[in-house]
Amino acid sequence: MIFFQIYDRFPRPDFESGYVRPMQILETVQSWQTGYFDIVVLILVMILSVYAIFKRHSRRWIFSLSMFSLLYFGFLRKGCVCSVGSSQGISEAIFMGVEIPFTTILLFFIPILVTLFFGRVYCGTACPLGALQELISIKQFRLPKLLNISLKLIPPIFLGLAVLSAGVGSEYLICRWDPFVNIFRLTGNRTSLFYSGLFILLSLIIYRPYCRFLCPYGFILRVTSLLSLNHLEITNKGCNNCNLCRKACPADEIHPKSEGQQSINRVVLMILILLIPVSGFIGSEIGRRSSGFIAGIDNNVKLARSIKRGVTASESDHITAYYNSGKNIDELYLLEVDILDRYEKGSVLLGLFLGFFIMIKLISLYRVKSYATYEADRSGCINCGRCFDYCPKEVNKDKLDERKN
Amino acid sequence: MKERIKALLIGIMLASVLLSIIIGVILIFDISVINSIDIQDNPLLEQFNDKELVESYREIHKKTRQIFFYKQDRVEIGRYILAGFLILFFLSFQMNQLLNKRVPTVRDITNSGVLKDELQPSFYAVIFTGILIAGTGIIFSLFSEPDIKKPEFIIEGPEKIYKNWPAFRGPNGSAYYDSNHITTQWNVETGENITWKVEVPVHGFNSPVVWDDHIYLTGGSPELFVIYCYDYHTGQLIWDYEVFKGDGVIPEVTSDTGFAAATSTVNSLGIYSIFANGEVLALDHKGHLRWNKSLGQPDNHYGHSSSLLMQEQTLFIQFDHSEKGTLYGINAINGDIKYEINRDLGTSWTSPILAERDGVDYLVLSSNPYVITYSPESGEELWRTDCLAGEVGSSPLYNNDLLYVATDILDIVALDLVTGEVIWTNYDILPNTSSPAGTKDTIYVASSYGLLGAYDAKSGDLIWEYEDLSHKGAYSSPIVVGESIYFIDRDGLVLIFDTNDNSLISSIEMNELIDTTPAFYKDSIIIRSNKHLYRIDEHGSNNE
Repeated sequence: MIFFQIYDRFPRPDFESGYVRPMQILETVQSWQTGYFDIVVLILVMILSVYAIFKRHSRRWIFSLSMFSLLYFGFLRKGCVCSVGSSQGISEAIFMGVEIPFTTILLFFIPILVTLFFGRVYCGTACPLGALQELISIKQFRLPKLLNISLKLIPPIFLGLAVLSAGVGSEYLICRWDPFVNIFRLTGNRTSLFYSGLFILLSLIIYRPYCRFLCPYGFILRVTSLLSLNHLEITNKGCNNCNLCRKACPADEIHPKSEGQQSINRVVLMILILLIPVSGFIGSEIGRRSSGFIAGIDNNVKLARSIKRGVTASESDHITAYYNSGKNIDELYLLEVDILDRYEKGSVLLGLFLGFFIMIKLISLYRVKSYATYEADRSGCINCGRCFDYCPKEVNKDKLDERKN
Repeated sequence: MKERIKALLIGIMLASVLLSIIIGVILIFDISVINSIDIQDNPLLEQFNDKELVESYREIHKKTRQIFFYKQDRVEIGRYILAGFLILFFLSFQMNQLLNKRVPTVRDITNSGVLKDELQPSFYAVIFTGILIAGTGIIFSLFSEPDIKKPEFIIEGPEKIYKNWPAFRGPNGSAYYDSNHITTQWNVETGENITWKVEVPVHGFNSPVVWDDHIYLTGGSPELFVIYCYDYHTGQLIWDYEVFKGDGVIPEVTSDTGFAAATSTVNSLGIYSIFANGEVLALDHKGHLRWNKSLGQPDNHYGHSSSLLMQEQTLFIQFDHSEKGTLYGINAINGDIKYEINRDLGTSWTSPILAERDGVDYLVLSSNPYVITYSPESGEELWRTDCLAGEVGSSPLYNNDLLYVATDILDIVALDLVTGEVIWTNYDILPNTSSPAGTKDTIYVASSYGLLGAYDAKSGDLIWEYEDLSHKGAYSSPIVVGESIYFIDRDGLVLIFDTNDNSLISSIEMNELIDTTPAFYKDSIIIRSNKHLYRIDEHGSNNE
């Protein structure tokens, strides 16, 4: 914030009571230079994170970088330099043809690019939302595995809804439902503070609930991470299968050594593959039919429906504001029809995507993978580095280094 | 050393959590006090005559306000302090954890991995969640509003469109007005049947359009582009909107095209206009800008003159110039481009029309050398026929299942609307800038060299001609009105013929240059001349 002495266009009144007019405070406007500086900081954090994860194998480094991200991207930049929300800008640019800043495109693609090479480095250190959850995580109660699996199906739904809402020009759902932006800005209305409080309480006892079970950008990184060239290695000194890392992992994303022996019902597998288009069709049909309900997200649709229901201006500030704007009510109704049409088309695609996703998820459960040693899950591991602290090979490596020094 | 650090961290944790609790309690108390105070002045005070009582009340209220703002400032600062202590608590906790490496207190996990023991329950977990998601979607669909059909009062159906004059040559470019009550006599010298006559400050070659008692024109000069709205009843200028004024790059145009040659189009939401620099604007009926868009300055050696047309929510713009030709379909509500079709045809000066047969709509555009029809909904090309040449300025006409186009250096052509097949051609009397009009049996044209002609609509035979226009000919397009047809030549000579036998009903001198096409509305004739706007009615008729 910058304090300005504003020169008056008109002389101030003479206050006889001795009232002193307060200094006017103006927020600085974010210039393009600040945006590019944020990108540079992000890149530096990710470079250091890669070093911390792959070279140092150091939980302390990871935690420190994470706290820096919390301070810079969270509290200083007020949570709005955010790759998580950038997917909405990309969606709006693609489907609505809206021009978005180049920095938003960079924010979206840089973590994905890094993930392709090094796994979910962004989640581990650079994301302010994850960093806040990392800070306040006191007790990490493990969820039952089946609940874990079920809850992980929520992020693609949230991603689909967010892309849909931004893509038809409604609003940025990820930002509206961001539980931590109130903490970064230390402000908010009662509903949003309650929602934030809920996630804070959850984060105290469950490890990173937002990252694991809600984050839409995390879903993109999960999928990308499956293709990553490199990935976190708990130790490169030879695993002794002690299981300590698995006990330490609060997200239950470490696979023990296994030989992958299981009987695969190939008939079931074939049926599942054949059901992919059926599932997609059912999903698209459900999407189409529920589009009217989903479109209720949009403020113009809400306003039009209120007016049609007979809500009067005296009962609603929004309606009063609309009438006072002098705009034609027919225009609002036409806009509503236009928006509903866009939601219908978008919801069909969303349903199709979810239908496919469920079937592919089922099929992926049959993926036979053997683990020669304890390995972090390629898509689920958030690179928090807690496993480093409990791996005896890594701990001993530190002691060896200390002895050498 | 490590133990000391741990002890310090634990101390910080305890201190910070204690302070956080204290500050939190203070903040909660302050917020509750803030919420309970009303700092607004009590309006009832004005009713009290006892000044001393009022003053003492004000003094107390002043102190209350001071408490309010003091607590507000305290909350403002307190939240930062609280956040700071909470962060300090968590940081010290985590640092303690980092220093204190011990096995976390979680339940032991068996060594079974993703094997058959876990496959089946995982499978069912995903199925169950999938069903839950689908079920939620089905519940949403039950609460969805029923299929929204466009409300009838919004759709400008034929009744509404034909009650107004929303585009160049009338609704859908039909060049027809259904009435037999239009006057055929007026006198500009005596004022007979001239309801009003007003001066239009900035001239343009575009024709008037009318919607709900609002008459719209545009004007263009090198210094000013402007949209005018006149009141149908009084002729008073209700508002004008200056689009461009003063500096700026403007295209080169000829004096007989100008900067505002394209006629606007209008619907219930407002007026849509385009100017020679490619600027498109949508205003509401009160003159407020709804959206604007630049299509880029066209390279058109006469100047852009293709008029706008609309169907429901889509605005059609024929934007043909020497560098490229484009058909735009624009969302009239917000100005978004719905489709942009490359025409690849070069410059034209015609305007699009809409036609319909067997429930299928056709958007018809003509240029050199093609007549092309498109789907208004998607911009998909339906057919094209090579039948034109030269500088095409005369717009198409749809009449009785056939499409008529003409160019003055080639011929007049009748085509089948559905297939584009050429039915007949003739070249006896051809229009240049004026566009044809038609009745059930006859197609009328006005040439630029003083001749009017009529062709048999089915065979194409020339069945009538009239040779009494000024040598300047006609730029204005004829309009069929009931069983009459109205022609206006460039010298302002209005000729009205009976379409049953092509006999002359009336001949009126307006003594002004007239290049625009008249509008017909509520049995009035709205004519724009070089300098004026006229409303002409039969006095004593129930127009209003």
